[in-house]
Order: sequence, then structure tokens, then C-alpha cells
Amino acid sequence: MSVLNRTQRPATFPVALGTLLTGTIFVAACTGVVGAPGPAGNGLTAGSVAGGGAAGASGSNAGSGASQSGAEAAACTGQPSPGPAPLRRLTQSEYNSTVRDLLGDTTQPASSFPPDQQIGDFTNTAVALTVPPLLAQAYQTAAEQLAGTAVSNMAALVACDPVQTGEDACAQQFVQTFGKRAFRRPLTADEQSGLVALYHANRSGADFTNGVRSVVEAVLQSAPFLYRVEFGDATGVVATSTPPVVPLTAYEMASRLSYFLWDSMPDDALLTAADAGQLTTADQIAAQVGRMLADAKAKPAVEQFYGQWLTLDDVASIAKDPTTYPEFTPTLQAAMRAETLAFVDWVMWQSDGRLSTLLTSPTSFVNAELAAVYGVAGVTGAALQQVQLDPAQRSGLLTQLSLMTLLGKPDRSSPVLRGKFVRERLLCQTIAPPPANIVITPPPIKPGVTTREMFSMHSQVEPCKSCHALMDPIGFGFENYDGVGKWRAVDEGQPVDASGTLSSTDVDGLFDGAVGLAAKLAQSREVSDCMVTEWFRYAFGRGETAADGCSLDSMRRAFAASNLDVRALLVAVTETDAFRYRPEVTP
Amino acid sequence: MTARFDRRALLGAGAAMAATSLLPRRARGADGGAPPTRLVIMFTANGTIYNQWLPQGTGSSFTLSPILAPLAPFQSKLLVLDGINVLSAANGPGDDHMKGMGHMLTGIELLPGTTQGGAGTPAGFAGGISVDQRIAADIGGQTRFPSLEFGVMVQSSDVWSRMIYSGANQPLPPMEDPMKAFSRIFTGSQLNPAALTALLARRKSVLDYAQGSLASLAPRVSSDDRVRLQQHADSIRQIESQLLAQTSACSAPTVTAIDLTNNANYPAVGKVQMDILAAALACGQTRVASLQWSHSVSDVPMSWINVTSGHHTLSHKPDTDTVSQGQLVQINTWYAQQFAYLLAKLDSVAEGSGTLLDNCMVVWVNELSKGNVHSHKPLPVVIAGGCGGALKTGRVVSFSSAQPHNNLLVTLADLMGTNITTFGNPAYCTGPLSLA
Repeated sequence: MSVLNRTQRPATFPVALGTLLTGTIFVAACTGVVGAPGPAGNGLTAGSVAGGGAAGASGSNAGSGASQSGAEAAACTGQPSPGPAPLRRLTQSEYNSTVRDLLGDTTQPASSFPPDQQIGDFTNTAVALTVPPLLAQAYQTAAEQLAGTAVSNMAALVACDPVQTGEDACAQQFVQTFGKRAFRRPLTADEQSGLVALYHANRSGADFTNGVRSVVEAVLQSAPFLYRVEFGDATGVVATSTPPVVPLTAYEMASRLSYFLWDSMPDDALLTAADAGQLTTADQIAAQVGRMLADAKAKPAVEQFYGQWLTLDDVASIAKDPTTYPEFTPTLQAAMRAETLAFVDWVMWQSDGRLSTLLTSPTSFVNAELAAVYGVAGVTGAALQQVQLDPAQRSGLLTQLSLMTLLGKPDRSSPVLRGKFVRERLLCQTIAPPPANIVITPPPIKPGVTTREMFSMHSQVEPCKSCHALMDPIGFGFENYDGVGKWRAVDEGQPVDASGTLSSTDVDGLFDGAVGLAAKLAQSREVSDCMVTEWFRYAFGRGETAADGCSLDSMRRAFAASNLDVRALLVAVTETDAFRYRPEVTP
Repeated sequence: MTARFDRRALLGAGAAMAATSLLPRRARGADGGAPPTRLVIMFTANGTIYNQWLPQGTGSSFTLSPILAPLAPFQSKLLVLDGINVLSAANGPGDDHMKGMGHMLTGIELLPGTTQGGAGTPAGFAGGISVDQRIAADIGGQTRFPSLEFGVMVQSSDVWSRMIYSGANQPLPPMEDPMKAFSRIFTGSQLNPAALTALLARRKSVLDYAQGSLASLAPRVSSDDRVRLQQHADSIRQIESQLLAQTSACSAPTVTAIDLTNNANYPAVGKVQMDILAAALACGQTRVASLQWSHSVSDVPMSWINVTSGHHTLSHKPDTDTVSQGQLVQINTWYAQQFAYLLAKLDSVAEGSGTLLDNCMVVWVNELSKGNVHSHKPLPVVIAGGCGGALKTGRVVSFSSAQPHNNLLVTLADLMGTNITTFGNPAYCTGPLSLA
């Protein structure tokens, strides 16, 4: 049995890492060699996953850069190699933040839109973000509400006075200034005249306000607002790259930076810098990145990554059996999600930002309801407060109630879900499928056996064994946590055995409980590489492709050089070819 | 909070007549002829217990199974299909649940992508249009909504959770909030005629501008991006026609706000969604609708029937685990009760010489056959309603050789008047079934 590794790594890694996976060839990221995935017969082949070569294939989700092992060829050839750059529609959270910054409207209208559709680990994958009729209608409703609110305070919305300036001149000015902020670049002459014509059409027979209102409604439903449109700077084309690539324009770079680091539109400083053409050199961009990371808007933006990566929004709706877990209430669910986000915020902005801290710190943030489940004394009220959890029981993200709840069944724990999560989201590995055409008939279970005993059969009996041997022995390490994350020393009347085994990783071996597991994972190069890969996927709204080897390699090096400080990884994203360039658009 | 809608609020925009119509009301075809036929798809997850699902007997002489027993009042209006095989699911990316869900109504492989399932190669969304949308493409223009998609606590938006597609990589999300569904379909404008006229004029000019912005961008982007912009433009076109159409005076159900995150509300949400769906059909708002309970791999614990384990968890238990098997029968029987509720609702509306149900084709499907082996054959399919007399109901149809489910899909299309000879990936489609 083998696993398919989804994160390539350079051959410069310690030799010990090369022993991880049978049949998987690791390659230097900068020599242009492609790693072949698992051996023939494991059910996965390079061709079966439509690698980066399929990017751009019409009608294929592979345009997202469906990339798996082997797709990511290494190519630091000296020519920029940015990978694909599909058109990105604003996500729900981007929409909410954008209208907050554009109009000062904090009603978060996108929260009631139909959910962003998901391909891959994140809900911001570009090719999945289509606009079905239900969403078009939601855009209309939101635009009408937002515009209605905005025109109720014309003095705040329109800088000029239509009486003093004259209505037509004032409308012209409004279209120009509002349009530029909404489109995140100056309007073209056609856009300017089109919106002014719209204003006149709706002014006619009504009033100035009605004309302005129509402009706001139209802008909020138009393509340059809803999509992050990029064509690049054709004067900088690198024709020797294949395909030819272009650097982003200063305005496009302003949007890339703001949506990555702030989850929102560029602020005035970014637009002003773009006006002056000062978002093109590495130094200019680095200066903005430093400023932006120090801004409060970086916090909710980074929360977006963790929230999506850990599927934290699902905590609110996950179903548990009320007789098994009577403590599982809507307020506890909300607090679980808030706890993990507070912990992430603390690691990123108050502590050291390091991956090991995310994975091993016993610090957390609890209110009375959470404290009761954790068994922490002395916490009252609904507000979260910083506490030290028992370091023998709790260690970083993985042992928090939110994760254990998400990775638990309605009435029990789930070694399978927990092991699978570690494999997929922390190690970026894919569990190979069982052989074709087998009939899986799980062995009978006896009442009264522990969860561990029940699942142990999985890893002893073929054909279950082939897959479950990769999941369950990791998941068993979490057996001290029930289906909502509460510590337990006893399961079904027997002492919990939370010993586990890691295999097919660079930190193979036995471990004791999730605390022991987390300590091992924090030492794993595969885990830190996976963090890089996941941030790449999130930052670019797509999977990695053959063309991204150099970008990923530079991120890995920067991350390693910072002692795995995730903040340094964010900076590194903005320095990659993938961030600075895009393929020339060939309609 | 509870919101009750005054029935007068249901009057269409600008309509001034008194709200006198009550269910049941009679609908007629546009020219006063035969009432229109309608298609309704209902989905439930994780397969069934086939030997407790399949009725005993064949043809018109059969005894309903334990799972289908709640359908007894409609036995003469049922077609139970035995021997449908989702042949396509042997191929393409995705795990068995993903494939089952994505192929179910499209009959075509999933696109390659980056969603990793429990097994199989990673996948994107489905690679083609679903049959209901293919039908809606032909007849959707006759009604205010080409189709209406309802969901019951679907709560996720990935390939496991989408069954309706307007095209490759174009999943259509269901309406999950009954209040919003109600408002979209039934709530007319409260504006006076002059204000309404002004609003509609502004809306038209605004949407024209939005369309223009998409049209000017589309030629300048890559072909992949252009497909998405085209769908966006199509979507705006659809809401344009909706806002211009007037909701006819028509009776609608009472809808109250429900917490959509509380699992205990699952039955109540389902019920009100069925109420709205039935009323939308009765009121001629659409001819194509679907109802999706949860999603494939649904792990809903049905505490209200004393089943504490999650549905998907139970569906993995071995055949020899009689307790779990019994609970799976309970779960599927509960879903049959919900199906019966929907049928009863439709059957309560007099229409033409019969009932609304007689003019419907209500199809209950699943993404799997048997949960613990993730099989795709035989697919449990129940069709209810006469489709305006086109279906010969009151039968169990056992196919002597397994039929690719593409054959079923093309049959549904044909019965709804879409004149096509193949559907989905033609490699799996050998021709329509004879259900008449």
C-alpha cells in the first residue's frame, strides 16, 4: 500500500526524507524533472489526475490546476513561470469586506448568498465560483439594498454638491471616483460614459438621487466589480516564457495584495501607489506588504485561510445526537469556532507565528461553556479568555473541541475521519483507492467493544486494511477525545488506548496520544511543505500545476529560513512568480 | 421569530384582485387544453436496503415493501423500477458517493479537479447538464421560473452536495431557506403601480448595464473564463424575465422562520419546502423542480425516530449487523413517508380531469444502491404520478437485463416532451425505456 504524495519537495532535503514513500520519486524543484506518482497498480496514475498540463482545457475543472503529484515540474529556469491565473469572482467574505470598505456598509449581505461552491480544500477555488441564477438574483437584491442605504446619506456617498457643482458635473465626478474605487482602477472612457448614460436615464423623470442610485446598483452587479479582472502589462511581456507571461499592472497588483492580505479591496494608499506606478518593483511591493500585515484588516483575512482549511464554518451546522452529547448546544458550537479562530489570531499576531506553535501550544481561549467541556476551572461568562489547557491532554489546533467535533461522528469519535484529516490536510497526502471491483463487506461488530477495537478490524482485514492502515493508526491517537472533543480516559468501560503509529511519512513511528502525534507532526518536513502547498492553493484560488515548481520552492525555502513562521510564508507568497506575473491572456 | 404572511401579500406585483383562490385550484394549459406536465426529482442519500425496498411481485400485481409501505395510498400511481444501473459510475474521477451524486442526473463522468474523496482520483463538478435542466432548457420559458431547486439542510457546496447542473462545471445550488424560497416565488411587490413601474425601469437599465459589462469582458478572457462569464450572463437573463413576469394570484403555504442549523428541524424544514414546492407547481410558477434531502454521505442522525447514529455511519455497517440494518430500513421508511407527504400534497390539487400529481412525474432517486459496498446498481428508483397519462403506473418494472441509467434519463426527457434520443455520455445510453 502506498500513498500518493501531493507535495513535491526538492532533493536537497535530508536523505532520510527520501525513504518515505515506496515508488515515489522526488525531484529537485529547479531542475525540470517531474516526479512520478505511485507505482503502477496502486490505482493512481499520473494521467488519471489531469495534471497541470490540462490547465486551460476547455470545460474541465482541471483548469483549476488539478495538480497532483507529478504535475508540478520544477522549473526555475530564469524565466518567470507563474502558472495559470483563472478569473476570480469575489467570494462571500471578499464581497462583504469590499462593500464595507467601499460604502461603509457592515451588513454583510453576502452572508445570505448561496454558498460559494467548492472544489478542493478551499471555498475560494476560482473555477468553482460560477454565478448561477440564484446568485445573480442575490447580487441584485444586495445591490438594491446597499444602494438604497448609500443614497440615504448622499453627503457621505457623493463628494460634490449637485446644486453648487451642477447635477451633470457632480454625476460625472461621482461616476469617476466611485467607479475607480469599485473597479479598483480608473474607468475606461466607455465605462465612464456608459455609467453617466445610466445616470441620465434614471435621473430623467425622477431625481439626482435616483440616478446615483442606479449607478451604484449597476456597478455592484457589473463584471469589473464582481471579478478580479487582470490582463497584465503588455509592455513587460516575457515572450521567451512558455506560454508568454506578463507582469501585473500596478492596479492589478494592488488588488492581488489587498485580496490576499486583507480579503478586501485596495485602500486609498494602494490605489495612490498604483496611480504613481509604484507597485511594480519587489521593494515597492514589500513595503506595502509590511504595511498591510501590520493593519488590523490582515487578521480577518488570515482567519479566512484557517477557517476554510479547518472547515470551521461547519461547526455551526454539524449534527450530534442530543442524548449522547447533551452539552452540544448552539452556543457551544459558536464558541468552539470562536476559540479556534482566537487561538489562530493569537499565534499569528501575538505569539511567534510558528507552525509548531499552531500544532503544539496548550494555550487556548475559552468561555464558561468551553471551560466546562475542557474541565478548566474558574472561567465564567460568555467572553473568551486566554487559558493554559492541560498540556498532557491538549496540544494545539488538533486537540481543540472544534476539530474533534468536526472529525467526530454524531454519537462517537471517528479514528477514520481524524486519521484521514491528518493525512490529507496536514501531510497533503492522498489515500489511494481500494482495488477496483472488490466487494467490501466489513466484519461483523459486537456490542460493547471500544471504538478502537471496532476499527482495529479495519486495519487487520483485507481489503479494508489497505486504506485504513493509513488512517486508523493515526486516528487512534485521538481516542481520548469523544465526538465533541471532551477528554475521556475510559471508552465502553475500558481504559482508552491512545497509542498510534505514523507510517509513510518522514516522522514515522509510534506515538502516544494526540499530544505525541502533534509533537511529531511539528517536526515533519512533509507537514511544513503541506502548509506551503495549502497556502499556495488558498492564495491563488487553484491547485498547483507543473508551472508552479519554482514558486512553491521559493515559498518552502522562505518558510524554512524563518523557522516555519507562517507570517514569513505570507510574505513569500507575494514574492513568487505566481503572484507577480500571469500568463498572457489568449482569448 | 415567526413570520406569517398574509395571503394578500401573495398577490402578484400590481395585481389588484382580491385573494380569493384557495387550494385546490384548477390549473389549465395556456389555451385551456390539457394541464401541463411537470417533473419533480427527489433525492435521498446513502443507498437503501434493497431487499426491504423492492416490492414483492412484478407488473401490476405487487405488494409494497416495508420501506415503500408509506406509499400505499398511491400504489396505483407508482412505477417502481428494478434493474437500473448507473453504468457511468464505473468510470471517471471521484469516489463512489461523488460519482453517484454527480452522475445521477447527468449520466456523464465528473470533471477532473482537486476535490479528493475517500477513494478514487480527485474530481471537480459534473461534466454535463442534468436531465431536469435539459428539460427546462426546452420548456422553462413557459413559466416564470425555468426550474426551482429546493434543499433540506444541504449545508455544503461541493461535488457531494450538488446534483443539478446547468452545464459542465455549472452546479445549481438549491434554495435551502424556506423563507427565502417563499419570498422569491410568492411575495409580490408592495409598491404602488407608479413606484413599481419606476423600479422595474431602473432594474432593467441596471441589468442591461451589467450584461454589457459581461459582454465587453467576455471576448478578452480565456475560453475557460468565458464559459463562466457566459453562465453569469445567462443567469442575469433569467432574473430579468422573472422580474418582468407577474406572479399570478395564487395560494401559498404558511412559512415560518426555522433555525436551519439545528438538526432537529430537519423534518420541519423538509415539510415546508415540500409545501412550497407543491404550491409553486400548482400555481404554474415552474414545470421543473427538485428536492434534495441533505447530501450524499449525509450523516444526519434521525433522533426523531430514535436513531442516534448518523445515516452514513450506519450505511457502512455490514449486512450481518441486524440492528444497523433495521435502523437503515427505518431511515429509508421515514424518507418514504416524506415522499408520500409530497405526493399527497400534489394529489390534493385538482387539475384537469384528475389531480396535479397525475400531471407530474415525481422521481425518487439515490446516489447509491447499497451503502456498505458503495454500489451503483441496482439503483432504487420510484416514479410517481402519471405525467399526464404518459406513464402506465401501478407497476413494478423489472428489467430482464440491467438498464444503464442514461436510458432512464433520456426517457424522462422524452416524457417531458424533449425530443432527444440520447442523454449524458452517449456511450452509456442505448435508448429510452418503455414506461408507457
